[in-house]
Amino acid sequence: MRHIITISKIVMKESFRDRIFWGLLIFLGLFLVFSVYVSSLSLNTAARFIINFGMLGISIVCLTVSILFGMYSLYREKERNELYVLLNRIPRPAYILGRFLGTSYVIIIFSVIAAGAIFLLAWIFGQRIAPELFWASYWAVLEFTMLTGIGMVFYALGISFTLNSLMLLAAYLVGHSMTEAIQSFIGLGQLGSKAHLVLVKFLSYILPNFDMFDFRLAIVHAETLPAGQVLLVTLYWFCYLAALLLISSALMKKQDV
Amino acid sequence: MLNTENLTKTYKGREGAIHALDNLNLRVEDGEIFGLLGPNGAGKTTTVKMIMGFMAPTHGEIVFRDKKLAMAEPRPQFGYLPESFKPNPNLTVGEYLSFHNELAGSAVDPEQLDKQLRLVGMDRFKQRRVSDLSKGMGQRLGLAQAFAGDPDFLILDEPTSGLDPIGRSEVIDLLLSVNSQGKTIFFCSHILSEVERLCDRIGILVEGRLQFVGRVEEFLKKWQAENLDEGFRREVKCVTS
Repeated sequence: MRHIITISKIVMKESFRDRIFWGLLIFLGLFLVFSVYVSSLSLNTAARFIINFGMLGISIVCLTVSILFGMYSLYREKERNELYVLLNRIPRPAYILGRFLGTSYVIIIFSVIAAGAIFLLAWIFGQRIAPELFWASYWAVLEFTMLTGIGMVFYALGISFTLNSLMLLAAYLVGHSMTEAIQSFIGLGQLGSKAHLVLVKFLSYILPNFDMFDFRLAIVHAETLPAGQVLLVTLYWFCYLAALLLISSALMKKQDV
Repeated sequence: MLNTENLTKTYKGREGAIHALDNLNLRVEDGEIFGLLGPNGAGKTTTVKMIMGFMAPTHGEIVFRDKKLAMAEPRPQFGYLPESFKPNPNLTVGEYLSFHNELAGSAVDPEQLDKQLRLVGMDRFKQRRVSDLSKGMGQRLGLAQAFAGDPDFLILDEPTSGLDPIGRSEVIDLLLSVNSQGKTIFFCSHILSEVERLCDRIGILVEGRLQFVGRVEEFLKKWQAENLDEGFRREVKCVTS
């Protein structure tokens, strides 16, 4: 555990000192300023507009964090041969978990900062106090830590950074079409054989379902989410992430580095 | 004592199997400086990576002080410096070394840190960002991290690469000094003059096979050469022709 914490702290420290971190903060700021400007053109829906647009900003920034801080820094460490020095001192699973935890801290920081900024903007320019925005931050953390976990599996498989990034983007897009895809496949399955249905249900458990974390509409319209649903989605995230981290740790132990 | 027993690494290539390392039997005694030499692609780095557990041998095993070493396990008993090493550029020199001390589980009080940096001539640069260091200074920092945790067995892959002649000489003096304190050094190098100055024994690896193990004088006698460079060229030419 000591090793995991040490690695995660160093990941966070190096992220703060990376120009990309500040670049992303500036991007987020500009994105939110733009959302305020555009919302001023709408009639009586400024707050909704700022919240909706702002949540899109959180997604873009967290996706970039996941790929750049989560994945790129991992590959950079390998290129510099620093990976070998670290693996000389700590077990491979501790390295994977430490890097994951460090990236998760950065995702948490960005999503909380963004949610706080959107909260203030919606209050100032839209006259709406929207505490539900902190749920948006919670869902973003769950979604993008899971994406980072998927990236860790790809990394442990030994694939290149470019391919890893493309596959992560693909996983993100596929994961956001899951509900629709499952429903249409289930429809097909009912028309076809039972085997189809079983296969589709099996795939829906195996493939990442990022739609589970998409509560944008509920947050924009200030709807309260049922506690059962929140628990269920959190449980899904926990189990899926635990499986991803176990797989990546096991793969790392088997691979030549 | 470090032993490799029939250590073999075979890759699957497009034109069949590639034998990167073929039945390597090597013994490094405690307290000695052992240099592994060979031309590019001879299998030196593969040997080091297998000893360090980064690569699984196709067959064979590595035994350290009567204990078989498992693949993919950390080796805190070894201080290690990989080839073409570049430390984390986003940290300062002091932070970087403290980080490695922390991972090695050793005390990280400022005095000890200064002492470690002084050992490699880096104490003046404690607050400097690693990204602002020259290649040579980065290499010295790499050596400093290899000493973290005070291991008594050092495995160094091209420890003087990127250093100017003065820096190289200082590193050799440093390695001789740590060896005199009882530390064992196993290293790979292309720079034969430093090998000649440093090593108690050498191993010559060509095309994955160990061609010679013994004292430098024995090697020179074998080829009736005046220096290691001449003998090495004859050995490689004899194997490859």
